Amino acid sequence: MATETTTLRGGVKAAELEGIKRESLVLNKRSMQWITDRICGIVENRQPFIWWILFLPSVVLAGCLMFTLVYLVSTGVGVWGNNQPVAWGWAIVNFVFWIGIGHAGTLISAILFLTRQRWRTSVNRSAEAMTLFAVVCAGIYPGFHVGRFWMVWFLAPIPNANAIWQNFKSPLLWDVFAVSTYFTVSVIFWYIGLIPDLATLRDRSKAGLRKALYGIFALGWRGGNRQWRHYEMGYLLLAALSTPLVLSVHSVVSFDFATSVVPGWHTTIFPPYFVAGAIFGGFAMVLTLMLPVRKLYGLEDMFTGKHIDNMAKIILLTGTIVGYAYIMELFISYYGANKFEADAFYLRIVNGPYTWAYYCMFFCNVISPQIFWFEKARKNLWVVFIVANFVNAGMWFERFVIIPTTLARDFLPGQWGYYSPTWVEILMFCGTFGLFLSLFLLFIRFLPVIAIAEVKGVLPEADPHYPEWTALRKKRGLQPDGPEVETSHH
Amino acid sequence: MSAIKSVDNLPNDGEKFDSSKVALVKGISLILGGGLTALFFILWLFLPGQMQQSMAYSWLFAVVFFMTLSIGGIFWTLLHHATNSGWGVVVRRLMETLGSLIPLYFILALPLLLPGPRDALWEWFEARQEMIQAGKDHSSPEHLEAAKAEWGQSVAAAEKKLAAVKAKKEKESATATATAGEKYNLEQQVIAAEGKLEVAKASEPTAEELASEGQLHANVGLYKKRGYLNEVFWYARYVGYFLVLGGIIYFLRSWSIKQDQTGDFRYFRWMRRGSCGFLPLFAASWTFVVVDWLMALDYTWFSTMWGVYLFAGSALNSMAILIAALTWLRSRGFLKDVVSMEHYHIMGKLMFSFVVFWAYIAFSQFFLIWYANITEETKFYLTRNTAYWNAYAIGFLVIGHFFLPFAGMLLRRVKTVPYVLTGIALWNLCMHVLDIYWIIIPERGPSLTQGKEMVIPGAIYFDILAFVAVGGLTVFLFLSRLAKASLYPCQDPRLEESLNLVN
Repeated sequence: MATETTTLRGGVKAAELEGIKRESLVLNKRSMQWITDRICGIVENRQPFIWWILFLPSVVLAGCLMFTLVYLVSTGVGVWGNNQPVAWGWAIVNFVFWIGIGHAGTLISAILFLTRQRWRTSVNRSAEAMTLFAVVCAGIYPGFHVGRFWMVWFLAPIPNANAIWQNFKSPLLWDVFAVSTYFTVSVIFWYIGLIPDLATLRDRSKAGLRKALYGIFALGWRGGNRQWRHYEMGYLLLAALSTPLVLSVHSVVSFDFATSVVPGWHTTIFPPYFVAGAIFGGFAMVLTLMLPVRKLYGLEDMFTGKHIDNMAKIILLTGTIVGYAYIMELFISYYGANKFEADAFYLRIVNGPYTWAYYCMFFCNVISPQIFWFEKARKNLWVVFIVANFVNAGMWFERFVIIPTTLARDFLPGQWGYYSPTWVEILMFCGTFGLFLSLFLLFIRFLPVIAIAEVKGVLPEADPHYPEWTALRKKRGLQPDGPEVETSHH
Repeated sequence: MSAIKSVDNLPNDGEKFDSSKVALVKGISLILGGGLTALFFILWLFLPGQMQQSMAYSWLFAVVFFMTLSIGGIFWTLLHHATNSGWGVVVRRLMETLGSLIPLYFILALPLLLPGPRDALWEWFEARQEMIQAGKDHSSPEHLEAAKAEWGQSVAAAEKKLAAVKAKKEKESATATATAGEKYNLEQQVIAAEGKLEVAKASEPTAEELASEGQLHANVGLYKKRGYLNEVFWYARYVGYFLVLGGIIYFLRSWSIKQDQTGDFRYFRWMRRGSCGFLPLFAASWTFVVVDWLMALDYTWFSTMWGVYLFAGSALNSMAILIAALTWLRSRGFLKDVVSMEHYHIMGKLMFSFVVFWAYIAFSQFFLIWYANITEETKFYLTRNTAYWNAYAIGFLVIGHFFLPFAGMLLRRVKTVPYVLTGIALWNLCMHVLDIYWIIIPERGPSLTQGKEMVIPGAIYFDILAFVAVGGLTVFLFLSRLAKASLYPCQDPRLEESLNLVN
């Protein structure tokens, strides 16, 4: 067998080569059977007690959301705290917050798929689900912000008897299109990806309602060669379609602000900066959800330290990009020599009603992720979890800084004001978390939380050259890769 | 399915670049580069003033264009290491070599630092001198004296007022009918007058204050930027940028070459770690290079997207030149054993993605400025929508730089046929030339003629001359540097992975 001192080509030590080997994406040489059993087991077995402990309060909170919505509709949007000059309060802050979170799913699915990042397979399913639920939460806000919810169909470009036409020049309308297109394509993408796994669940179920339902949704999938060919082509095309969508949605969200002439909102870097921020916040939320899930359901062998490491690095990168945008904004507010721009940023960073929020944002989004420069921090799950939550908070603060900070100090000092949310807004925001978590927990309960078929594709033995590689490694005196004989089933 | 490629079948010391095989190209590029550079500067010495000034734009255009390729080379090298990437090992030496040309542009840009070309390009230098002069005028002894006299008067007036108020107070409080309210009111008037006197006394004008005031009134925009736009800081930044950029690529390339020679794993780790740390420095340097050199061509204009825009173009076009260089080297018999169609495919995909990214950034910048329609921002596009620049932008930048390559590269087949992909790469390069041209040259006419003319007649010939001259030097240096080491990092631990790349 290999010894540490075996010398390979060019004086390379075998041990050194081992040191930089690509880490396995499935640990402990798990077999395909084990993967299926472990993931399907979550759906097939009773949920652990803690699932109920999380689920019931979430449902109660979701109920609070319903209550506040009914209260809002029956009383009027005046129950929210936003008024002149801060006409956009938490409603839009929370909308942008949730929409941002709704980006990581399709990013992981589509962009990482196109760039052949194989580690996505363990993360993509849950991230996509999270995306959909986050977009649901986001969609509530503009829907109810219109005031008369029963008129919300005005948002769609349907000419009506009163000849009300939408303002196609308004980015707010593009938002409606962008978000609804994104949601539709994300649902289709997610569902297409689910089909082979739904068939697996169907095949494992005993006859009955469960089998019938999984059967219906599996669309008659039998796993034949032709089916796989079409499936993979369809999946690739959807990934290619989703990629520009990921970018476009948050770019359009940024246009809501950047097309205006309002100081602090109108700056050309907004589109990519919003996209980077959305990816940043989305990854943080995936980690927040999946770190407990992997522990709870014993998924550490598929959702490995390597996955967390990669996601922490993406958080570091996108956090630093967001920091670049913050600093460019500051630089141009100085360099641009525009009095109003300079004042807007003076109020943000030196002396304004919401200066505290700016520093919360800057610390959470730019400073806190810098700890991920250290491998030790990326490997420590507590550190990762805490930083991910800093980022969640920081991305909320970012939207808060952008919106009320600017509006509270209008061009006319006589119009200045201070915005704080009412209990309805606070309860509603907590309620969206309840809805989000309820949906996510139901997803864990009924659908495979990791893409079973795809994880099998990243096992070493799935490589067509696997025997050759093993032979080559053996020849060099290195440990051959591959599955050990399974000794026990969980 | 072909068998896997083992590194054991490759020579231990990699592949030497035998430059005698490309001696003709090298010779021509040296003659063109050296000769035309000399010609350019000789002409510059003898041509009349306005043409001299316009040649500064030509030279800036040529230097910036070729520098963006080198910047892209640094970026791809950094990205390769920072992402622990495996695919690009076989072409990484080309990226490193491209990046290592950066000192050339340091030297070539030096003439632009001379006051003549410098002031022709960046009007703020002259405007700053005028501003400082206005400050001096405003703080001249006569002005200072006058201001002091005025100040003396205001102090005297304040003293007089105080005395009057005090007298009034004494008089009124002496009368028996004065109420407590009236007394309080008078007391307050005295306090206020005392305060005003103190303020007046404290505001004795100094020469510095007057100078600042004069500068502010002369050019408020430039006065506010004086901390950034001033000669000393500007020259210091020029040196700083090249130290940072040159330092980054110097370390990465020399570690990479040392690894070739020794096979030592240390360098692999250093390159990875170093690259992660270098990335923020790289981003900051390049951002401010383009702020200083390009955005400041009109010092009143600004855009937060600017750094990203120039970065997007650099990364795209350096990938294009890498593809073109690779095809050319392979046609001369180099890199045949290590580079496969899979590498072309992946490079094609990266080029495609940056075509889209560039368009996304360019469009966003244009769109937001167009939509908001604020005077100081629209300037940039107004200049570039005047005369033929409008058709130029739509034809070359919108259609040529985005729609055509986008449509052309969508099919997978296209990216795996080297000659087709190289054709598209060359097309992209041409469009990038036109992009940089569009960034710099439209400023020239209005700047040099005080807004009277859009175009300086005949100046375009010097643009071409400068372009060929800097291009020749670039090609020559690239080929010379390429011969210094193996054509691919032959001891890289990820070499085998790269050889067996599958898309």
